[in-house]
Amino acid sequence: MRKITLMLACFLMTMQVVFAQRMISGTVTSADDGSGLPGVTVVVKGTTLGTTTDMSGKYQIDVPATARTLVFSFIGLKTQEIEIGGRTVINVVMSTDATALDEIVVVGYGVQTKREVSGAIATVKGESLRTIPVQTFDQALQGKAAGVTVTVPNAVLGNPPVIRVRGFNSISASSSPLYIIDGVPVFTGDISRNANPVNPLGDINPSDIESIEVLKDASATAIYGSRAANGVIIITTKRGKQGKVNVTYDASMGYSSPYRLYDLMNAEQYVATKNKARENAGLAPAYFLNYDKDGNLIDTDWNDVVYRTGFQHSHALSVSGATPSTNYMFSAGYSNNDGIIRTNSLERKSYRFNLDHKINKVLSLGANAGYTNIFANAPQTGSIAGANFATAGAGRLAFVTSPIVPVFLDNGDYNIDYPNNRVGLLNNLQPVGFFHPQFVFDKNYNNSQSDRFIGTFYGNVTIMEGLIFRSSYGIDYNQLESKTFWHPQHGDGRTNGGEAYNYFDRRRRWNWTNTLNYNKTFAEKVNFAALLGTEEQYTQFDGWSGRRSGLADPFFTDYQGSFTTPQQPPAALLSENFFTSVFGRVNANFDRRYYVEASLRRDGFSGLSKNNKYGNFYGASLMWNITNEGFFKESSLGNIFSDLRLKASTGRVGNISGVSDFASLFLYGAGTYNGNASLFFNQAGNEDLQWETSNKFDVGLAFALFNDKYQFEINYFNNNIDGLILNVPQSPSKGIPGNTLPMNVGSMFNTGIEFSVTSTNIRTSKLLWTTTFNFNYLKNEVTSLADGVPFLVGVTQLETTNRSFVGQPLGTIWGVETDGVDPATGRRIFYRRDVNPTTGEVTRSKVYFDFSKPAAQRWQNEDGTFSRPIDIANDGVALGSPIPKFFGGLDNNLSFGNFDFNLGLTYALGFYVYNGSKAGLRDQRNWNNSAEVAEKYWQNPGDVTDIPKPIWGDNISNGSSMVQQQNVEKGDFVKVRNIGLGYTVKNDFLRKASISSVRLYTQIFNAYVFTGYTGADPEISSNGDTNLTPGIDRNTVPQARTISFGMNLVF
Amino acid sequence: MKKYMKFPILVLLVALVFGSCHKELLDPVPRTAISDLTAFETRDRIIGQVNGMYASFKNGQYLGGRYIVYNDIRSDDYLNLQQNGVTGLLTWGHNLTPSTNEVQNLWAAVYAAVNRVNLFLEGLEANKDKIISGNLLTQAEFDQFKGEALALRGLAYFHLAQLYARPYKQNPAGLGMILRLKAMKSGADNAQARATIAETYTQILKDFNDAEPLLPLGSGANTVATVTLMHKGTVAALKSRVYLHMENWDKVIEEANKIVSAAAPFTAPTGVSYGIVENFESIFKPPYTTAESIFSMPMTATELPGTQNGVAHYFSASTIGNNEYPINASSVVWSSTAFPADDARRVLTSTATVGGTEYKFIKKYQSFPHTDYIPVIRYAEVLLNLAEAEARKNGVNARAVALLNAVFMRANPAATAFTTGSFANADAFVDRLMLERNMEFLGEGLRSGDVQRKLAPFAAKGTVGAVPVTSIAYVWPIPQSELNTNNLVQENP
Repeated sequence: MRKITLMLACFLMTMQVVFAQRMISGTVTSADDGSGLPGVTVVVKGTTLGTTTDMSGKYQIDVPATARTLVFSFIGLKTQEIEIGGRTVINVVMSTDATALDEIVVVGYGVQTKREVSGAIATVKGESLRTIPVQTFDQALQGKAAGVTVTVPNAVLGNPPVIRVRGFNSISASSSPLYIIDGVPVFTGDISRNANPVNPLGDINPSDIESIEVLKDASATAIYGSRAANGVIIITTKRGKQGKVNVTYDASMGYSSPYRLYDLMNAEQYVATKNKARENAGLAPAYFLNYDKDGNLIDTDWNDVVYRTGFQHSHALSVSGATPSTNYMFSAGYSNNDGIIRTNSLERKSYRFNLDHKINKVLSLGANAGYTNIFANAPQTGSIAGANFATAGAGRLAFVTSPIVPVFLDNGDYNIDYPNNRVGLLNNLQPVGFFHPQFVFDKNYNNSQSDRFIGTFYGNVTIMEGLIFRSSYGIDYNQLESKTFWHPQHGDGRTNGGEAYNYFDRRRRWNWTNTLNYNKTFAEKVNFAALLGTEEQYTQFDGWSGRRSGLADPFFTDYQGSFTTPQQPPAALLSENFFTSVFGRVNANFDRRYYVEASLRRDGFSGLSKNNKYGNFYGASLMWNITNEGFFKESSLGNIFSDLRLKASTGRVGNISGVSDFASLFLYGAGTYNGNASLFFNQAGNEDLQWETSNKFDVGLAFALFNDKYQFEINYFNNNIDGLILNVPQSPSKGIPGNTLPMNVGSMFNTGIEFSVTSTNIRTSKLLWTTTFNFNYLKNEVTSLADGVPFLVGVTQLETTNRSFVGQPLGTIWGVETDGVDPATGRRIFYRRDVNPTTGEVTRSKVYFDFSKPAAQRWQNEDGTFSRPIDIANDGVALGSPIPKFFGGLDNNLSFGNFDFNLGLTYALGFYVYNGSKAGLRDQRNWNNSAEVAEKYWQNPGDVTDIPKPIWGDNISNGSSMVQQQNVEKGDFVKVRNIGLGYTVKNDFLRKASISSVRLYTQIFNAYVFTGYTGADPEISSNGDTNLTPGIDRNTVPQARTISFGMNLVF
Repeated sequence: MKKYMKFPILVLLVALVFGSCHKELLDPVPRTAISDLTAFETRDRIIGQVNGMYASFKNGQYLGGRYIVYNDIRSDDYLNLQQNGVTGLLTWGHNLTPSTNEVQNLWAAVYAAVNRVNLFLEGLEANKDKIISGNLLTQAEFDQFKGEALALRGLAYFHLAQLYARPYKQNPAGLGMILRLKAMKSGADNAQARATIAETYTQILKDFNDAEPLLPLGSGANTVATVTLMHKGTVAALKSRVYLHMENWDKVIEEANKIVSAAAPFTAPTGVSYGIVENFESIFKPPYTTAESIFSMPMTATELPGTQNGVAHYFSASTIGNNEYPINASSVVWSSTAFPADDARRVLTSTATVGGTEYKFIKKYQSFPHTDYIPVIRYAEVLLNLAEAEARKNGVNARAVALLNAVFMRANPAATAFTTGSFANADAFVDRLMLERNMEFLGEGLRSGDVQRKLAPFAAKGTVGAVPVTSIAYVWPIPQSELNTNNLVQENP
């Protein structure tokens, strides 16, 4: 080798001597920071004469007299051709490849250029996520990718966002996409077992992300077969780039605070309204104003006890670089967040090391390794799925607790009525609240600590030109320890004299992928690529727990402390699953005009029964690149359109996520009866269970104008899902465990239109203004459920809130119809629905409710006769779809000189939210109410208001007992997601300190919401990542607004 | 190039071959559960299933707590202080609808227990040869377990009929229960109509009668085993209750006589030596195995009824309970002059102040955590069942009065005993006896059944009006979840 190189060098030198006629020199600098760019190739156009720039970006080259043009090129930067003219010094400023359509897009098991992608793929650059102050990168995807909705449920730190790619694609299984980080499908969801949610995607340091690709249609996703139906999100971490060693340090700090908190009754309003309610019920006053020892009126805003301004700061340091044979990236990150709810915190430490090394022409090896430790704590917030009505739920305590009692008594003690385990009454005669939030925050905890390692090691073997074999072995290991402690004196711990729970869960996965990739161009015009691969993935869950009660001494606050009573521990986890797959893909194009792509995957999954273990999935697409047609190039349009492609794809992919690992089996569980071992039937399986299948069809048009200055993409898609696995309700009299069986019975479709624009509005040497906008229309409809199952109910812990039935969108909000408050009597008006048993005809009649009457006389017809009680089962109707019809985002980035500015909006229109919190805020028991109740309740005949005459104990008129129409509101919103302002400093002074640039910025995240919704935020999900119960706002804490300041340093 | 070629091809071959070497991982066996295919393969598993059936009955939604609670709080004996929709408020206020939690949850818990019984019975028969020839069980054990299963099923259907069907006396041809007698494992058979009330009672008695000869007699002093598992005496006692609801006085006498001697002091002539104990409170104290406890649900610190399920949570004062249901001082029983102030049952109460008012709570359940055994049937009830039948069949005779005295005098040792002359006629005797039952079994889940088998209205209490027999609220509705999935089921009229 060395000999050849030497000879070549000698030969070139000889050539120079022979042909040299003049010498040109200059410096190549980066448009980003003005620094010299080493390694840039400088070639005389039309010859093989060339050189590269040195470490400081300087070059010199002897060119023949005939030379007209120099070509400057560097991977990732826009190639420039410069006319030489008469110059001898040519300085060049190179900028990153402005033609985004030539960017590399990551696809399943490979990469393509954007211009060649025939499937529907949205790309989000890591750069655009880097400074957004969120705990997990998935939260930052809001509004950035067409077809993707990201709902952050609330401000509880680490609460996983609800992500839907082109809508809800499952009912009983999961609708969440598959996430792949550097080739390894990773754990997702809320993996915590206590009130502190843990999102395993939070283990990825957002600063480490190079790009995120969202694969949407069948063509793009089919290569992932049985896990593709909900879309695939591929996260690629950064690699070192050739050039000088890149050292960056990003730091930010910020403050977050709750916004749009409810305006609650103050002490005077509370006493007046509640006593009025008692008077209306024929009862004596029970509430009185109280004064503290200094004679000040006690008027407590419990929001102040529950919420705070949280401080957060984060730091990320990275070193990366590359030589021609090796590239590396090392990073460390630290972040510490205090949330807006007291005691809610999340601390993350992360490390990453990525390395690729080319050993020789044939073999290269590489590894990615990321380790993360997270320690987080949350009180019981009542804001994660299934905890909405928790008595300790912080979101709820903030608004139900009465303002007329203090947090602390005059003597400094907590104001708690210990024997009755509730907030202390003072001289009041009726309860004033449930648990005391301050005590619960101070004494109880729910924390989680996770250790996560995600790593891959791969080898590439170039068998012959164009044929590459790759073997990659990856692991995802997660250890999670969760701890809960409840103090014995008050709160959840009181009943059992103090309680402690410890959980230890281990999730382990390995994934081994082998692929053969072949690329070849035939007859100069036929470009052909093929991929063949096998993949195996094995996952193991192993979790156990302990529970003890009867704290021996209040000194102890850990499970390991001293307790008197052992308790049956919560359920253990011990489970495993395995996927084995073969897959293949071919792409071909003729002359970059006609493209065809097809992929196929066969998956085997251990959770299905013997006869159904395997499934076949496929996808195919066609694309016509009109811009490369001769006739088009020559036409006048050819000058306007820099890109014009028509695309269509179809395919069939599957979904099995969220289905139990042993769903096909009939199982007996173990327990005890009076201490004797017992065994009982606790799982009815289904031997016929199969994959859910999703038949996707897409057509799209991508075009760009004026040299890619304006890029547009419009896609129509239709996704028919059959064989939906439903937990089909069984008649409870059959006694089947859980009263459901998983069966492939339902079907549903999502159809929609996605439109996105990326526009470079202004580009001058000083000013750059870009806009990205996406608009989505989505229609979801359930088309069949099981025989004899007219609908599926969705339950928000204690409350039946949604119904899914044929002909309507999934999870339609279901409740009884109301018609305001009768101005004459102040009673809530309901509608009763009676079905004629013979004709089936439905009659709808007005019913008035008066809680002050004896039980049998509360419901009154218009004619004064008594009615049966109004009930969800008999009188419920569809009150609106919680799935937005229209949604999207708008981002504007502006840079002017050293200043940069960004403004990001997200919006969703055409959907409803059930404001269950409002029902609680108007409840006429002892609960505190919103101020509007005190201000607007019905008092005299003729009053027109939506708040009925208050009657003590009335939990029906305002919706506490069932979903009512007046609490179902339009959710339409436009949210100012972020506003940022930055200033970049580059000067000699910094350069002397080896700092090439400093960017200082400030940003507001969740700045403002434009909405008519009266709750805290229409972007909410009280039930977490749910399919059957979306759009529910019940006792949940609000969202946080974060103001942050940061700095990006590049050395 | 050639020399490089060999290496990758080798890698490729190894990888592709190795890539299909983990096929066994496609058939994992769960390690924390037992497959239905092997549930009858060992002696321990079969015995485990017997325990599993009892444990299903002990579920906090059923006999471990809520069944007892609901049957008591339907009556006028209690007030409701917490106004909590998840702790029986709607049952107490007779405001249930098909979708109310208690209506749906109790139904599901009882039928789940029934299905486990049916699975066990079918499995036992299907594997009979293997079980007997393989010496997994002796024939006697085989029979006994089958008997226990049948007796449990009879009990479950009786309990269901108490809440979800109208009283037998009102109309035996009326809508009874859905009689599920086969094991259910698949998606088939959702639809099944309700049998009549008469058919339901026939099935209950058939199960008890089939069970009785198979069950052990037991002997000597009561033990944990005889209290917590079905015996011949248990079934006789339960049948006396079923026949009482049917007003089949001959049969009540026949069944009760199996465990009640002819004359006082009343004891069981054979089998477990049941009898009346002197100290009333001792029945409700550890070890809960007095001569009076015929069948109870055992509780231990690791087998608790669950949050808001424990009987004590409802009926006991804080801090054992939650001050949910205090005694209604103006109830029929509590305001009765026939209920002396020093009656042991009246004395067994505690007080708590709630919202400025002092309330009395019953104190039969005294443990925290809720480890008190929950009585399902007690000897005192059998005596009173027998007394009622005697009086109805033979008039107010000496035995009927002696039986009443056995219960009344135990709680009032200083009182004057009743004589046959104390009662004008059988009606007067039964009226007094009903009051006695109310005093004796407060908090034991008998009250609703006693009201209904007389077709009496539920008396008014607090803000809740009386509920006449004609009211839709007189019995529970069939749950919405059943109506939704079973198109042959009919709602109660």
